[in-house]
Amino acid sequence: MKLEKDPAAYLIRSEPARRVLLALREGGPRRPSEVRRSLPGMHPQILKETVDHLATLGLARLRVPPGSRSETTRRGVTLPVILEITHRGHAVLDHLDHYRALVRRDRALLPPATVERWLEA
Amino acid sequence: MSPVLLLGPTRWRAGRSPAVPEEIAKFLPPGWKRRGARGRLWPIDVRAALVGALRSAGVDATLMEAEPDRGTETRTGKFARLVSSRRDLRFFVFWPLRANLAGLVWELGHLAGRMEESRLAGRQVHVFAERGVVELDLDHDRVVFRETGHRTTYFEDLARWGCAIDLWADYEALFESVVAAGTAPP
Repeated sequence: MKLEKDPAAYLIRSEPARRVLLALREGGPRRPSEVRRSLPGMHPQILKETVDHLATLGLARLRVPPGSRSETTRRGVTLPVILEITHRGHAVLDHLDHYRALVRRDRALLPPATVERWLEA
Repeated sequence: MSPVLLLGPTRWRAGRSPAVPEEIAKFLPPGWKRRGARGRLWPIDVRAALVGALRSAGVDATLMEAEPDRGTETRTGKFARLVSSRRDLRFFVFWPLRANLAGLVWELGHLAGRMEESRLAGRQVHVFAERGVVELDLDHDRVVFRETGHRTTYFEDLARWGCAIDLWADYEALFESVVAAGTAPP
């Protein structure tokens, strides 16, 4: 998967990313399976790639709950994990709302490159 | 903001020397002597630069190797002194691919011992893992630390303490994540 480095541009382009991040914001920290259940129709591989990308961009975070039990296998050490939105995730989502308001006001559909320039300004 | 002790490896594995962007050297604390040879930056240099970036953001941060030794203090004694120096000390773990993890395992082992004794109960441990160090297993609500062949006992202890895990794909993202976590409200 090609990594897109601009969190806001990624969220604007990726509907799954927006859905996952909104689910985390509205539902609070929770297990990945709970996120999946709250997003019917999203393919598991898409969800995995999206979570991975959101975490790599600092929009979401993995957390191992205290008191968890681990397991060592040939693959490595496995730890239970929950997902949560980060402060940056909240901030970028808020930024997107602002951007959408601008687009509605101007009734303009801008090409992605222009959107990126806007967001960088 | 609570102070931060930056843990992590010192050097790359033998024969490995991943390219680390030279731009991060601007964050190295004044007087820091780079350990990497031939213009390369070692993991300990990256940790020092992360400390510099955190300090620039107003966070009281340090790494063990940057603190002066006291008399005949042993390495273990120095580590124990540092982790006990502040009751609100947070532990950030820089975890890149292709690093020699012996030093990190040693540090995690000592942290584990103190956690077990409840001397560090409730402290924040925050892991910054390069993409590939951990693998998400969303079907089973798990994350896998893919460090087979190493002493993994202390990784397992992470589970009992609880920790946050941020992923990063490049050094720009790493620095952004570390500073964001360091300056975030509790």
